[in-house]
Amino acid sequence: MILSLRTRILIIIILLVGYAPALFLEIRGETPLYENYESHVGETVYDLNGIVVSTDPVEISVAGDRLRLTVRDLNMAVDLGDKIRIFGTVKPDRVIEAENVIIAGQSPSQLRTYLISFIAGLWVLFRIIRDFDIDWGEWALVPTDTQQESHD
Amino acid sequence: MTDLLTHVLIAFAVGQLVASVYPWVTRSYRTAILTGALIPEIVKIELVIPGYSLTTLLGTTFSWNPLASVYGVTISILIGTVVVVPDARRRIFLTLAVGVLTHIVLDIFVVQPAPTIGFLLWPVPEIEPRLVNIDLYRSTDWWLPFPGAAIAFVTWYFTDVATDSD
Repeated sequence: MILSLRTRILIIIILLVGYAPALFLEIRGETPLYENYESHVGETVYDLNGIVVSTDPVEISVAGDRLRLTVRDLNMAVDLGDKIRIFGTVKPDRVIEAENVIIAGQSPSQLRTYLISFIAGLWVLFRIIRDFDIDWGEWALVPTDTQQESHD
Repeated sequence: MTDLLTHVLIAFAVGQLVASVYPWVTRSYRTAILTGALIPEIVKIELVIPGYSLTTLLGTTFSWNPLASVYGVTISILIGTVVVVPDARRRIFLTLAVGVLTHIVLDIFVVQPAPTIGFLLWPVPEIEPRLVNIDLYRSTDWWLPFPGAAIAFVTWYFTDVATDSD
């Protein structure tokens, strides 16, 4: 279907606005604990992210240090600076009772993941630049190998 | 998530296989499959603008996570479809979707703290227990790109090199 540039821009704007309800709707277990902590007591957190700031007792910093929480019943040893993800229950007095914890990253492995992910991103970017041309008349991307076919 | 390199390597292998079955999947469309494998990763905008900053700023709950849900990636695929020329749209839609699918399938095997499928099916709430609960690796496992590269290489060898009669 051939759409005018104006129609296409409009479609893209509508699609971008379509992201919004998802981004703003509360997801169960993802409610921000740093806003009105006590109202969340008793709730389950499925994937609470925090950085270990103290190990005895284990204390984590959450959401850019908006909140500090003590973690109880950890099933593993953690080190200072570890990024951990917790599945557990919200208890009074800023305590999380952990059911399961995984270490999402220690600084070196995290850095390595970012680095090789960046390389992968460059690889794909290079391929997009190589395999797609911009049709300035249409303001659209054209797969280069199909373009060759149509010129033959 | 698995690291991005493993995602792209697996998408590369899948692209090679798809191309060997469907000849219209040329190099450009295989690139679209690789691009699709990056789409759910848009969620990593979190590293630049954390969701909690926006929650504070806007005074309402905000999370980037649904960008990686089926709902979010569908919108992203449609945007990708609209930016190409009309002739290529159907094929771009399909190849981007294949790429996204490889990403989602690989992430099923990532170790998660809770036995749920997370926000994948937004707006359906998290489902317990997880439909498939196979914890094979963490996104930061150093060895992960190696089997990824091996799979990509073997697939490339048998689809491109071994079948190339020229």
